[in-house]
Amino acid sequence: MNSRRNFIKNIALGAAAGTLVLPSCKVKGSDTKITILHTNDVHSHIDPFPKDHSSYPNQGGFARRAALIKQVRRTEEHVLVLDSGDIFQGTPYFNFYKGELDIKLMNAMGYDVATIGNHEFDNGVEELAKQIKIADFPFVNCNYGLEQSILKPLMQAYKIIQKGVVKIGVIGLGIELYGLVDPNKCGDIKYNCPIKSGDALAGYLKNKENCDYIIALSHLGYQYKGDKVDDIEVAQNTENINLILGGHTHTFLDQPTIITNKQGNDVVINQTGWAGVKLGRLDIVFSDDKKDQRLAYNSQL
Amino acid sequence: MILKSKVIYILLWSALMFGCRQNIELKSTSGKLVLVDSSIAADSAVASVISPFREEIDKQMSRIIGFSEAEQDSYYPESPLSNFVSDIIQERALRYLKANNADTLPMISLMNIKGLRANLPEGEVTVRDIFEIMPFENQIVVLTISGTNIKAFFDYISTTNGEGISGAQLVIKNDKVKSVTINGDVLDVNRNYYLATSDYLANGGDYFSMITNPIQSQLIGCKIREAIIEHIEELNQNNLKVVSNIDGRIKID
Repeated sequence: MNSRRNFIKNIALGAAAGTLVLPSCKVKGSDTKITILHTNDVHSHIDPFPKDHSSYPNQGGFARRAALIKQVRRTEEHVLVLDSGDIFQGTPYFNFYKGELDIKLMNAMGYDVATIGNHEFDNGVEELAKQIKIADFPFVNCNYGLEQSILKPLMQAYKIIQKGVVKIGVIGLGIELYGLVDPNKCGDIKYNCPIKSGDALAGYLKNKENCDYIIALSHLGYQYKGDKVDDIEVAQNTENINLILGGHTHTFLDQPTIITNKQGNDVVINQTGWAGVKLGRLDIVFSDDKKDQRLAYNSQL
Repeated sequence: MILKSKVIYILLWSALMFGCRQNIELKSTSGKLVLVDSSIAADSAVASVISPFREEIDKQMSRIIGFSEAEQDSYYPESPLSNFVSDIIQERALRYLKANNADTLPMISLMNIKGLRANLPEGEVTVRDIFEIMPFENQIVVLTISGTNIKAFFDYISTTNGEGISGAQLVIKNDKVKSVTINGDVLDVNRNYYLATSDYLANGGDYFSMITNPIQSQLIGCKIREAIIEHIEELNQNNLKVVSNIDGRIKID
């Protein structure tokens, strides 16, 4: 990197009048704010809970969430809408319509990326494949070996999204299906270590695809007492993941959790409980020197 | 000359874009959970998409299928609801075997307590109540299991403090089997048994590993939810209500 910089610097010095600003990449630039809205374990709760519900009276509902997302889009320029799995199963909407209504409404809300949870397989892998085809947004996962699965051509390892000058990589981490899902329903899906697979892919996205920020949509679960891999462990044992949006354990995190990773950097974990009674919101601000550099360059012409 | 310097500028610019990639820096992160409640007016477009689906579901869900004398809930080691559903599985599986002249082995049934997702309310019982108890599309399956594995099954549910069972009486002491009888007879490890349960458990759900390699497996063509609905409808046709049937089939010594 240094030798490249020097090379550029030398060319710049020799080339033109641009020398005043060209060697410097450290000019303070304008900020870019990315607003992330996210859900997990919505479990087909299309409607709000009943008014007399003991835990969540009159809370949740897709039509309200849609209004909330629209409202944020009106005030924020860069919005990402993400889901961490278990979209399906839990109300008669799923028994009757097999998830089609859920996916169509998520299309209408402009979801950008989702991952799959264990309950996505409840009607079998063929039915899941049908629903993924209806989605306007990609489903990502990097630790399921899908070579023998009909999901192979329907899923992606990652999705890169450019928001302003910020390049964001979104990956998916899936829970071990053994013991959770009937093997006849999920078919032949190999489970690989989410820490290894996730960090390797996140590293690739940072170093080769030049992503500035890596988001992991995780359906692993927030924290376990036993030796099951959880989000805390992923955060502690990786280098390249910046944000983990979790699921599966139905954990309401009133404040995001901050964990120090292998390199001493902060990893943020968030999870929104379940059933869509809360919508997660994260505002992430990036300082943007690159843009400033371009302005400096343009001024030379 | 002008053209040449423009080319250099373009090359230079592309190189700089790459060279400065590290300069997108994370400055701050703030987060919160936003409560989705009645203070947020529903989006009318989305609401109108949902309406016809809800009406169709409501029409079918609100149908009254019978009555329950009291609220039936589920807990360990045995409970009204887990006994009720296990007995329904046992009865449906027996009916199937008799119809197929295959009623040749003693039978027990298993319904995992974790799989019962709500209580049966007191009074009117609707289709919706049963969907809430049993949202899954699980089917009833009859497994032929060796006596050794049936013994392993009772050993296992003694460590988990019981389960929904039918056709057997179990006494647990210090997480171990103290005694077990199947239809009144002592468990014989040298013979085979039928075990009726859900395809979910038969295929490895909830770690019942001793039943995942049965000698034979027969799907009886009936979902557990359908069996519950039909059973309550039959009770109602005979002017009977659902009653609690705690009968001491699992005891902790």
